[in-house]
Amino acid sequence: MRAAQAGDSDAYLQLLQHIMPRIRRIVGRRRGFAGPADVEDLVQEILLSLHAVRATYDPNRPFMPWMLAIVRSRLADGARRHARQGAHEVHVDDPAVTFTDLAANTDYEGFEDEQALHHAIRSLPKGQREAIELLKLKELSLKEAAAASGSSIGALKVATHRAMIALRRTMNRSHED
Amino acid sequence: MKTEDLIVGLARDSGLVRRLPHPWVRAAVWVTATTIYLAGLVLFMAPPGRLGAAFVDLRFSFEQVAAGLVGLTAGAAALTTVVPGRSRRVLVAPIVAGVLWSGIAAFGGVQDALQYGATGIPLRTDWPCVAAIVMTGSLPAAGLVHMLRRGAPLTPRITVALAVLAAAAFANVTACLVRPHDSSLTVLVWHGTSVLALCGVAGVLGTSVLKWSWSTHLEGTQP
Repeated sequence: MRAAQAGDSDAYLQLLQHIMPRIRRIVGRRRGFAGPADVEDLVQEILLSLHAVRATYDPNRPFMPWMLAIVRSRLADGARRHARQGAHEVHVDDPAVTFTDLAANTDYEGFEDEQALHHAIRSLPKGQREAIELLKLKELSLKEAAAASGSSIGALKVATHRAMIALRRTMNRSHED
Repeated sequence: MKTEDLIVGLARDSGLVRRLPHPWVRAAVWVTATTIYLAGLVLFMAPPGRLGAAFVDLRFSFEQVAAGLVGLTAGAAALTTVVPGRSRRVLVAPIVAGVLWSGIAAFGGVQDALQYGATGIPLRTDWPCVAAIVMTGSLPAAGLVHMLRRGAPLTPRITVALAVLAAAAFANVTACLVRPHDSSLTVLVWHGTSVLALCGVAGVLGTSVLKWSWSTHLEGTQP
């Protein structure tokens, strides 16, 4: 950790790789009731916490008590969060039957007329078309799409919203025809 | 995101880190700055001759020293609680200092009772001092919270309550030095209750004031 504080990222990588299984073991033991994904979430949260406060480590003192204090604190936070969420959540069993409508029973709602959809996208104004292409077709994140298009995230959101309304309208119309 | 990828991201993010000094060193810095600020206020606000007259009373002087001790120990304890792995025994110090402070003030109350009789103690409302403690203590409290944010919010409620106790204890000394009080009981009830109430409010707000936060460029790596 001393080397990591001095900016040695290789030493830091080694340290994190070395302590990660131990943290995972502690979390797994203390949160036995949680699923593997929840345990992994908590392990990641602990690693992020440890990273965020690495400046508080004093190299003249032992490392493990420092790390375990953070682990204990984050475990307690996690338990509190779990209890809070549990108090506000109602578990609902998966219903055995769903609606009889076909659309409600299909996982994937395919485009019935891809040609019409492509045509509808092409007919959108430039800004809206670009937003749809970047966010929906290329599946970029908002940040990435903003960087690629030179627009702000807010402008992209508005353009996407408007484009979706226009596309829905166009597709409904072509469906009725 | 896989934990292994997160670790690689964290290692890549790691640069040179400015180590946090020892909590007592940081406490000394905060106490020095607070003392300078509050001494300036006292010199500016106290009526002429007030300071000389105030320190003639030995019990009053001890009371202020004890209040200052509460401020010092509470500040140091607050700064210690944000360092992982440090002993929590440091929390005993502000409790002992607080008992000493209220003991001296209570002793003053007994002296007043003996002097005026139990029913004759001049016990008045003291809202100006409550306002003074809040106003003069705000800046040192904000400064201390700013310092605490560089640490780990392991016990945010206790930490923020201690920070406010430290600032309010020093602000109480300012209020006592600037405004003369008829009886120690007034100080004990009004100042003591104000300080405790402020600590209580700070404790409730603790989790909103001190939170775990990741650096902004790590936002994308949140689990």
